[in-house]
Amino acid sequence: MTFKDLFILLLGPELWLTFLGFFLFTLDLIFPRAPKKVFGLLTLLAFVGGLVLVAAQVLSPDLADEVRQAAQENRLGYWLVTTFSLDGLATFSKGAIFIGAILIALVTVDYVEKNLREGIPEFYGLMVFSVLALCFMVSSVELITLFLAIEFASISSYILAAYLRGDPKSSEAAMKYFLVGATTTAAGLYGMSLIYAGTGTTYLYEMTAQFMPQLGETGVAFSPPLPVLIGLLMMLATLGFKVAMVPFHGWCPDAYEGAPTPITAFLSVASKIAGMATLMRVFASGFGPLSAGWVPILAFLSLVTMTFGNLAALWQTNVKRLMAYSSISQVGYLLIGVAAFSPSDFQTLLGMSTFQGSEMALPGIFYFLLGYAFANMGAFAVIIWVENWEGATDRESFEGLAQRSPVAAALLTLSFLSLIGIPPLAGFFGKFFLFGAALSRGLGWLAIAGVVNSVISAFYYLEVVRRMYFFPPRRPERVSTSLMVSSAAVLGVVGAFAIGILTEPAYQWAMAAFFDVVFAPNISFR
Amino acid sequence: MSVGQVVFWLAAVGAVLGAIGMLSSPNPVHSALFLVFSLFCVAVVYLLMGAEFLAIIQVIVYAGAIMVLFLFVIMLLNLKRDEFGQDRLFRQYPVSYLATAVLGAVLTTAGLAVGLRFSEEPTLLVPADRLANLLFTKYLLPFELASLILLIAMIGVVVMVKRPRGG
Amino acid sequence: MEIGLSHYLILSGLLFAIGIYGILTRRNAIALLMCVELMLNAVNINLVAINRFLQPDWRIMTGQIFAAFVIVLAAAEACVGFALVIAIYRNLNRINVDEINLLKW
Repeated sequence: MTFKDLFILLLGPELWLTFLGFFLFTLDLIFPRAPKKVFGLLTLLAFVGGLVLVAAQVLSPDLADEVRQAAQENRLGYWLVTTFSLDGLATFSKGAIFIGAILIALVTVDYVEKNLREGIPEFYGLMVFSVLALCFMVSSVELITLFLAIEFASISSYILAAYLRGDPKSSEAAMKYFLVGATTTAAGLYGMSLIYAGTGTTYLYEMTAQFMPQLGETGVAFSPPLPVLIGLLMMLATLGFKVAMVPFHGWCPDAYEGAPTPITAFLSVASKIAGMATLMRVFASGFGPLSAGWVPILAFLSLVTMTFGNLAALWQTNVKRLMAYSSISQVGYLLIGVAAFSPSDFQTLLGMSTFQGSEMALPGIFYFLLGYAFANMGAFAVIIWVENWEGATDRESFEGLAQRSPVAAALLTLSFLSLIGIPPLAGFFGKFFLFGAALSRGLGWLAIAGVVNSVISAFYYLEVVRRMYFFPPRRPERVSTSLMVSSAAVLGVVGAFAIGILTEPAYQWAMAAFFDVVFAPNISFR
Repeated sequence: MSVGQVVFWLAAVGAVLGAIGMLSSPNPVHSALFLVFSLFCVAVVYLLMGAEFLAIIQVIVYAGAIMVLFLFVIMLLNLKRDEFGQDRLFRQYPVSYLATAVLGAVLTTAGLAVGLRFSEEPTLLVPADRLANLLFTKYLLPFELASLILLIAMIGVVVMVKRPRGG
Repeated sequence: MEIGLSHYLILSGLLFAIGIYGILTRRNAIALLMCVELMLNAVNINLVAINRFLQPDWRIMTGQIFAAFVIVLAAAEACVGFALVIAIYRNLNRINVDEINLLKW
């Protein structure tokens, strides 16, 4: 394979999104009278194309070898191989991000037509660019690149959240989002500088390599040196902000409620997948040998996050806001998986000890993320379905939905059931893997807390369901919607079902993704 | 004390005093000017460490661009003294003092833990062409990302502050 | 006393703590933005100092490159922040963050 082919294959989705982003920005200048729907369809095309390119990367049989060989022969620029990685973690999360983005693009077109007057091409262009930023985020293995990618994603999200110009709520949401984001970014950067002070490098895997020998001798994880530990905790501020982990969740409910609903969906699905993948790359993969230092902290934060999210959700009357707290609690479950990490996982990965796949929680995180993405998108598609008709997302708008649109009510119910974790939907198996891993790692209290929290969460999800089925409708007319929104809702629910039923293959894929985490950038740095 | 040490202490004390002045001044324009002073002292600190290029862009970007923006927005919104100078509710004070004290202590500990290292080598002025060389070779990908960030920031700002058509 | 790495790190820690204090106590959005700029500068002092003292070889300039990117980011973030301030001022006619409370817990 020539360098050019390899380059295009490696950076395919990113190049494609950059191209289409610029195209969307300029198309409106060349054809000001083009119908606005065209931009939506082009955005959809961008994400479908991205998914196809990711599939091409996954399916091309010897890409990894090609890359390794090319890197050894110095045919790839080392600027690329040292900052950018295309391991299983990256491809898996890119696939999940694109699936989420396709569903988001499907629900966006109608919403934009109803609610936006101006700046529509830029809206779509910014959406494409923010997905591009997420792609870079999950692929970067170097702190400078990582931080720029995170900021790229954040800045485009601030702008998108403020997009409803006449609506003060939207500006307010963006302002709060921005202030929390800017503060946590500064803290995270300070943390990165301390990590740099402690290790003398910004390459994640060079740091891993520094700490590996100490792990190899004893086989037990050890606490990092003080500057690195403080740096890691401060970096957790940035990553925790991206995934809305307590105590960096303050922006989440406001931003979810005030932002345009497709952007809310984007923040809760695509952005969260990327944030979680990055968190795993930094903690489990980059600082895996130091897990004794960060595991207790993450276990505690996981408990606080899910409990807070679920308890606060009980009082919500706006469904968008309820989804915000629900997504905070889902992050709590996901963090159980990260907290259930042990250095023996790390050694398994490096072939230093025997296979312990069934105990490992990290593949479970991937699986959970995929199921969460589908179920959450199903729920948001129905919310937009109702919002486009009613113009509001308070609980009362959903009353009697079962009579006004049985399909929408059924789809929302199924999505909620998956989020609660009812078999055979994906949410159940995701939680099963995560809690099981916590049990096998001596974090039984965390698993119990997770189960209790799932029961609490059933109350607020089922309250909405109860209102849909047992309350008289506020208005009699049917709630109809376009084919795009309804197909997004159906796709989301079908996805949640499919992953639940095909547990085994999905889990295998997630496992493969995890196994590449440490292996891929096997290239010596300079 | 050598000249370098005197300059360091002057710049360090200046930076901290500027920052405190920025927080305590009730007048937004004074506050912005205190910030510029503090950032200028930081530029001097960069020079002491041989980072001449960074010192220059620090002055150009902060004093030249960001500060003008601050003053422009302060004038545009016609910010009043009493609006700007107020702090939030009193009950937040103990929390803020505590948080700041804890954070300061932690960061100081981290700074000490890294070690009080001295450099035997004399401070070299780092040539700017070396930085440029690295930017376009080793750090090409972050460089491209930075250009994309500036692009979307520009587009986003225009979209956000443009007055609605007919409004 | 000779000036070592810790001196710079403590200076930057102080500036960062002052910035955090401002973030926690001030209520004006523009004052908050100023505090963020101050914190980003604290980070830059750290980066340059670590580069100077731990990697004095001037061929390795990771810290300085990092600092240059932080300055780029600070500029972009300030722009977006100001645009948001102006947008919110047009909608609500005030920019004190504790008075901006259409969205409640």
